Amino acid sequence: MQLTSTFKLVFLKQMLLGVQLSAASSNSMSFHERKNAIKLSADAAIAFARGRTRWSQGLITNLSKNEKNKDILKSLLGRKYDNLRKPYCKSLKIPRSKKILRRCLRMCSRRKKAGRAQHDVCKSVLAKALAKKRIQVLKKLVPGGESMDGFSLLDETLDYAMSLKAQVDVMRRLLKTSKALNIKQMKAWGQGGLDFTAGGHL
Amino acid sequence: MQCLQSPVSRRFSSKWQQQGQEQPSRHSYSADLCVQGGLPDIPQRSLAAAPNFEETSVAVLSDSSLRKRKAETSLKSKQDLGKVESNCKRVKQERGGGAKPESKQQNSRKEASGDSSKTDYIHVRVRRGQATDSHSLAERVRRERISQRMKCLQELVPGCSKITGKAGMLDEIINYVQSLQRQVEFLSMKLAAVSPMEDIDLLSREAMTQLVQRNLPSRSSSMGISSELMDQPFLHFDSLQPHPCSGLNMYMDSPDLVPDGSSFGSSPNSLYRVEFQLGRGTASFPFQSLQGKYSYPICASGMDCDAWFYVPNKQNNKIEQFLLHGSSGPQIRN
Repeated sequence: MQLTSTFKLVFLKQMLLGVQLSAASSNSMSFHERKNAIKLSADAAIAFARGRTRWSQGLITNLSKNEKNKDILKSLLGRKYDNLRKPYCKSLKIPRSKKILRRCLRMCSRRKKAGRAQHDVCKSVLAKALAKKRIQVLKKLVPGGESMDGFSLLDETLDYAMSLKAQVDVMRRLLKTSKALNIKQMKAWGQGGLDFTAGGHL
Repeated sequence: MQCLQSPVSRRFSSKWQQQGQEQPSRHSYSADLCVQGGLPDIPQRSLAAAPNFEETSVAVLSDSSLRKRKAETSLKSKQDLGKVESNCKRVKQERGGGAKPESKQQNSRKEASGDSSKTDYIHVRVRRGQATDSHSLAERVRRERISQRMKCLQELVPGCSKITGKAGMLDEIINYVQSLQRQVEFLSMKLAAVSPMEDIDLLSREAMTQLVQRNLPSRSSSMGISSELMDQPFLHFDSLQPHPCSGLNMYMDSPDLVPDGSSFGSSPNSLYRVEFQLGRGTASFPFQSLQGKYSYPICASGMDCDAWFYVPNKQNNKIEQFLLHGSSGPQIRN
């Protein structure tokens, strides 16, 4: 879905705008600052281009935790900044109550399972434990993932993965063009130098 | 009198009666059977029973539709449907194995009544031999949903088609997302190294022209114009006049682009062709929007960027869904 051109173009524009803004704010930047600025604008750009989804909101909230980035983000995203910062669900009440519920169910199921056959329990418990571990890891990866349940987490992962792919693709192209640009410039300078010195070749 | 006949002979006699008439469908056959009054007792009982079943099922449905839309109600309705079906089977056995078309008729009636009120809850067909317990039904529904999504993810993540099982799939997904994130980091580092910030304007222009030129090999003149137009919206982000792009509007609004069971993230290997007509030009550019070889339409030629965002979400989804529409996969987004 996000591999459509509109998404990519929008993303590209946003990212370059963001880079411009950050370049305008500080005149000379070190390598790390530049890299962070690029990354920030890239992330903000995908969140912007995607619209209002859980992961995009999570991403913007994570990015704006750093005070320095807030201003840039605000000017970059404009109207969408407030839109994206609105919490999707009512804070953390839902996940908290779910945790309590799960704990109670676990206790009940433990008592029940005491009677059942051992090997059956082991298999299912093991499989569930494995899946659970991985889901926890996934929750940490996907921005804003902690407050999601199983289904929506998979949905959001899908979404997020596709937009990441588009992001990577566009950034690669950007890199290519900048390299090509540099080569062109070098050639131009080189030729100019040659013309100057040796009377040039046609 | 005739009710004492064996079911087989009963069927034959009625068939023989109906030979002259046109071939009735199974359901009408049973109706005719009852109507002709060949079997006063049993058909009456079935007729009496059938409306009861109908009533119960309808009552169940109306009850559940009144309640809030929660998992419990769906579970209960499923339970009741399951009970109704199992009741059907029991009655069938009572009648001594006869009147199969009648039970089928009841099933069809139930289906009809069920279909009519589909909006309120999820329908689950309880297969024979499976538990109709509400918990197990809920579990099954949950498992099916998860498996649907895993299938989609399988198509998305490369190299995942061979892996079965949740844990392995999740592993692959995690690896994939992590690798993508690392790639972004790496690329941003490279970009920072390659281009100093002052060149960003030039870079942006080049990038835009690249993106556009690559995808529309013909019409280089329009490329030049459109790339310039595109630079302007980029550089003067807020102060842009919307460019009339009637072709684009056609593209956005055309009803035939809306598929009915659209799928999200369906097989990325299939190619889709959409004909897109430029607003000003006469050229129509078929393009294939997927990985590998893709070409983008000049969708943003001179258009206000904001116009893209404030297109109502429905349209966006439809377009995107159409672009991805290939195999009929599960529908995740509405």
